[in-house]
Amino acid sequence: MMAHRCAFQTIASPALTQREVEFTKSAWIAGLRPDQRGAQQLREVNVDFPLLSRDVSCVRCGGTIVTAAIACELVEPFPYRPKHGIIDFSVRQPYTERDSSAKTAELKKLTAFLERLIKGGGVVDTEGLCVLPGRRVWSISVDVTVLNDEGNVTDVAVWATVAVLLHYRRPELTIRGDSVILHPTHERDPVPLSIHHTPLSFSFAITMAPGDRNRLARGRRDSQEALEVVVDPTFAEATAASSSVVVAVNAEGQVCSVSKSEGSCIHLDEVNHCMETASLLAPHILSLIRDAMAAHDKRRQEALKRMFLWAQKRSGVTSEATEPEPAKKLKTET
Amino acid sequence: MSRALLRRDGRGHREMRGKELRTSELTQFDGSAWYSQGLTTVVAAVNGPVAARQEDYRKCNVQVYVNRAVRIPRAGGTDRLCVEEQRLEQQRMDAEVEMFLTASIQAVVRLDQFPRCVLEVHVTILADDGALLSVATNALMCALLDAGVPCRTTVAAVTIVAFAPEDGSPVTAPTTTTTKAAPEASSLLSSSLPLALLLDPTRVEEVGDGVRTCATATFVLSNSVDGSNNSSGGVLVSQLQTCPRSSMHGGRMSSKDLVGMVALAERAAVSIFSFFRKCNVPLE
Repeated sequence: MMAHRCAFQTIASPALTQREVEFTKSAWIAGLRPDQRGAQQLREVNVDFPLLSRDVSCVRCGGTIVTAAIACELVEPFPYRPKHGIIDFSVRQPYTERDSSAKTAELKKLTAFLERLIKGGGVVDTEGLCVLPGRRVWSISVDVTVLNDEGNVTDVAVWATVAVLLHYRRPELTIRGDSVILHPTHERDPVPLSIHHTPLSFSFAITMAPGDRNRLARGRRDSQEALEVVVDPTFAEATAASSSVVVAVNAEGQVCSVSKSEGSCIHLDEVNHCMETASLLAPHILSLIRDAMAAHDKRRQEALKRMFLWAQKRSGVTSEATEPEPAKKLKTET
Repeated sequence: MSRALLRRDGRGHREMRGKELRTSELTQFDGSAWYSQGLTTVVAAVNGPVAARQEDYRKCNVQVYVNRAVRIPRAGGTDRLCVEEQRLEQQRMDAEVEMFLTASIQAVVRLDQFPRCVLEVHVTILADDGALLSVATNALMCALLDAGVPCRTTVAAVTIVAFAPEDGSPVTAPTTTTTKAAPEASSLLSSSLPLALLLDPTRVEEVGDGVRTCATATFVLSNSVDGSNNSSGGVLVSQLQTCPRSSMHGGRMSSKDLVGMVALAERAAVSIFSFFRKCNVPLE
């Protein structure tokens, strides 16, 4: 099992991978993690909206950098679902010579997970995107680009997608009968999407299979306990783990999705432990997203003020000598 | 009478937008750069010359992948045809960016020193607000320097839009001149009315109004050999896109206008080189 997983994700040097795996396992048995984090501690998370527009978000978790971009158009619906809007997800990653061909399958799995979590979980109601049944609906496209991968891409992709869905504003509509008026942003303020809840996913690595843990406990008699479940695994930890679980919870503590696709069997109390840990961590990530949204709104306001400051410096507005001239011209014309 | 010629975002004709540069952020690549001019933002990542699975072993191969951060949303019914056409148009533009960047790399990087290798470049376009070719080329140059790839020189790319000025409309020329004086009047008209130039255009300025816009040009200029701050080393790669001849000012591009565009691009490249130099100040 482990040999297959090692061959599955090869990096620059197989020998270095093997040394990292052995070091990670020794650290887990000693109750530590290789980068000195606690078992339930995330890496440093930073949520950012890099552009002045609201449609690109960038989330960094340690060395993993993921951007999510959104686009919204008013289109004709599918004939078989005339009252439902369209929401589409896509995950892309730069391909390098060192990557194996299994990377594409992982990205497809991540795309399916995003679709299941956000579209199937009812975060964005596709029926709420309908404008005129059978003629005009909103079509949303969310593209996730993994710029740097140092483990735990699933969580960072979900956080970036949730951040861009919360922050995006679509143009406002006026519907009169069968006519739809799309107002530009300078006519009316754009409208946020209707988000029902905000699921945030957290990946957990199960360090050892139950049989291995029993044999280890029988062999050792000291009181020091080995780590069983670690959150936010890095690339080396994901390679060394016996299995992995992805748990998605929303801000109210409700579990939206649990996913375990490969690896050994796990106990039910480990799954419960994962859910409790995710419920503790979700409000922290959501507050980071809200703070980033508020900071970006402030930055946009300052940019708008600077734009208008330039307009006030024009010669036609501030100088008083030019003001009487139009009145004179009007008098001479009459 | 003394009204200043300003653009709609407050810049003069010869003024560039604000620049932002961040390097060495993507740790899984050998070199990376996050570069933006105004709202146009490009992330370039370079994987240095690595062993390649290719057949030509004589020199290094160059692979450029261009991605856009967001696609065009899907549609059903008859709108699907429009969406597919827009996607094909976007793929064609991405292919043009790929070819331009490949030509820039082949002109700059010393590929002959790396036989049996491949140089991979991943360009992600986060936002496109005009001057995309020059922003992508500048981001690529910073990523190559960050990766330590040996280059012949450093380059800077500049985009310029040429359009007809407001005064002196040529519509009045045929009505006032006779048939005998027509060639002299036309030559006098073209020589007395040079095209106006816009440096670092936004997307709205690139598209123009369809009447006065003549051409959009992107020049890749190299650094000067003596390291002085007032000149550049010449044009290495360029791309000129003119309006069709059927429009009012189409096909009016003359060699004198092209020389003026190159001179303006050389003066603008000096500011980009000084920006690159300031970003390279080491920490103390």
